Amino acid sequence: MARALPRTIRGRLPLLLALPTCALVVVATVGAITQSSQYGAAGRTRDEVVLVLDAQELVHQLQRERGLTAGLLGGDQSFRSRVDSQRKASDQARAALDRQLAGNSPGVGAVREALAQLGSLATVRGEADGGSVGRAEALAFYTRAITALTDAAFHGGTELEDRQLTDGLTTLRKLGDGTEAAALERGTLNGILATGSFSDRDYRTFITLLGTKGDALAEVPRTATAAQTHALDAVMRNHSAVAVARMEQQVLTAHDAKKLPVAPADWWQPATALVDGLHQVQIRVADDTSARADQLRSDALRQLLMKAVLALLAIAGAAVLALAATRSILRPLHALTEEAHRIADLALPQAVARVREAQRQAEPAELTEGFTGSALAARGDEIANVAGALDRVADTALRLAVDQAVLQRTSTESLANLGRRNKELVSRQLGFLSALERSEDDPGTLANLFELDHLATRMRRNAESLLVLAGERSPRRWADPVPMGDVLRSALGEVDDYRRVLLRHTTPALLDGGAVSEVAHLLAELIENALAASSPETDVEIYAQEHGADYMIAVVDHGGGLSEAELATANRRLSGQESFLVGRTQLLGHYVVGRLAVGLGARVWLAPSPMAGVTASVLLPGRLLSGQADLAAVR
Amino acid sequence: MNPAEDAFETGQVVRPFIVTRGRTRPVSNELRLETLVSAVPAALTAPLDFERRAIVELCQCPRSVAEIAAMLAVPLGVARVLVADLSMDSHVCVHSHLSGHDDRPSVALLERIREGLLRL
Repeated sequence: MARALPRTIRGRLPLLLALPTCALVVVATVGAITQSSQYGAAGRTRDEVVLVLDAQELVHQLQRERGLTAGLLGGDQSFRSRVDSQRKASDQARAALDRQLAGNSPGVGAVREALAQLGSLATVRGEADGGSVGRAEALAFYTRAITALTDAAFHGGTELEDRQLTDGLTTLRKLGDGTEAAALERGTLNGILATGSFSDRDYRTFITLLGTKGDALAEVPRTATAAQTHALDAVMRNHSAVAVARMEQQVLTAHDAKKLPVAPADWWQPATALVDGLHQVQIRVADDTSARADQLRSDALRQLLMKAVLALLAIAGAAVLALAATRSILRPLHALTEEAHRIADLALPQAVARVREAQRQAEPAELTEGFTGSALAARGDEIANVAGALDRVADTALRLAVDQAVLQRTSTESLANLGRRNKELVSRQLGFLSALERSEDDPGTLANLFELDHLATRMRRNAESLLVLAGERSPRRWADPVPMGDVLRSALGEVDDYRRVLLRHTTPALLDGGAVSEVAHLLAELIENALAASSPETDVEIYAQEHGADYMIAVVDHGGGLSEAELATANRRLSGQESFLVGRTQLLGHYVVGRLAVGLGARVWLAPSPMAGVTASVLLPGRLLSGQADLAAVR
Repeated sequence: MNPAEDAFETGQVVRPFIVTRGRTRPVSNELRLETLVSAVPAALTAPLDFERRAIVELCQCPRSVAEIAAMLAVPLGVARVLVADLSMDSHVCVHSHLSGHDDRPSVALLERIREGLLRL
């Protein structure tokens, strides 16, 4: 799990923002789905209203045909021509509805099925023309078709929880019922009036229809808007409605008369006007409801778009913030990294170098001058804390370096001072011994003096080694050039077991008087190493000869030799590349040789001897040698 | 390093014990301060080095042991060891009877000693 997490800040910050962004996306998606389902529901409701209205057009025509057919079947032949034209109008309305049912929206199938009921319409019409069908039967056929069509058109209501919309649909339904009742009343009464008198069944039907119409229309204002109610009221109060009501009263009053006091043609006119008026109100309510559904649909669409835009904006904002946050953290971190590199690579080494090169009297405070802290420390945020801490680390490192450098300087000075005093004392001691040796006549005492002399000579070498390591060159100098043989023998005097050393072959040469003590010291260290590296039974041989313009001295031992790695280490020290402060103290001799060689401009290296052991070679530059003329003079 | 500070060394480059490799007892005890030594003619071509060669070169005419020590700037004891060695190897002759008949030093010897002392 931990491995799956990104390691960089650049990777982690976006991860932090990923969760809220995901939540936002989920919320936005849920909102979008809700809105789009609202949008769909509004669309479906609107389709339904349109379907209802389309169906009502056919219903309206069928109602009219039903009424006229009832009048015809009642025996009033004056309806003949109107029935024919009305049948054409019905067929046209049906063809129109068929066209509008081309779509596949829900409810369309149901309406199609309902239309199938009209399959036998032609038969019924034929029977009506031939008078072979009863008035009630014909009415029932039409009524069944109309009811089926209306029910199919009102297929599902709406899923939307909108009061205005549900009210509109309810109003439409009730109004449809009222209109149907009014139309049925019209048709029924038309037939009855054509017959001339009520039968018992006709009367009951008529009474029931009156009740149904009244109930349905009375329900309408409960859900209708004020304007719709007003429109309905207007229809119900106009002269047609008043005439209809009056005729209803007349018919009811004279229901048991042989001849009803209203002519069918007189009834048909205002009744149709009333039904038409109700149908207009229906259209109006349907338009209102459809408009409401449209409005809901566009609201849903607008909200959907708004939410999508908001979600996109939020995601974009989060991305921008993440980018900005990452940058605001990474940029100072980057600067801090560069700062740290600068301190480590440049500032600190430079400051330490200044300390090392500075005058002895300089105070540590002066030496750290120019070592400025990080500019980031002034920011005043978490990065500044890190920068400040980094500055402190650098300061402490510098102070320690300064302390170390000062300590090293003072201890080196102390060492050099002790070395100088030691050397001076030993030199005086040697001078005193020389005087004693010159006047000594007794061989036994002289032998003792020689022992003291040997010890003092080696003590002087130690003192000089100390000075060399402390970085001080103060060689003993002779005014005249010295033969190389004497230089070699001088070196022998400075080692412990000089009797094991053999001077094999020495080409005559003269060494500059100023270089004598340093060359002898250098050789003494190499000879001492060679003696230590070989067993007491073997000799150490020294060869010395010219080498072109230079002079080569080889110290050959017959010891166990050194491995490649040891040789490499020794050669590195001999070339003066390593500080003796980092090495092992047992091998100080090599450091001394290295320092001396660098001072003299000589080259010193170790190599395996041909048979066994190690050969230490010293190549003295020609400028340390005196000319052949001097050599001849000395001879 | 300051050359002006350091005076030049006046002492010997080679410590005296190295000259004889630590030996202080001559192979014979016949050498006295004033004993005269002279090289044999063949000694100049002998394979001798350092002080031994210098002694042979010095002793082309007879020299006393004291002279030799003074001129080589080595202790007397060292000169004795070297001369005794050369004598044993027959590179030099040691003249044991330098004194006159009355057992007193001859004038010539005294002159030479005086010259030698002056050179010191």
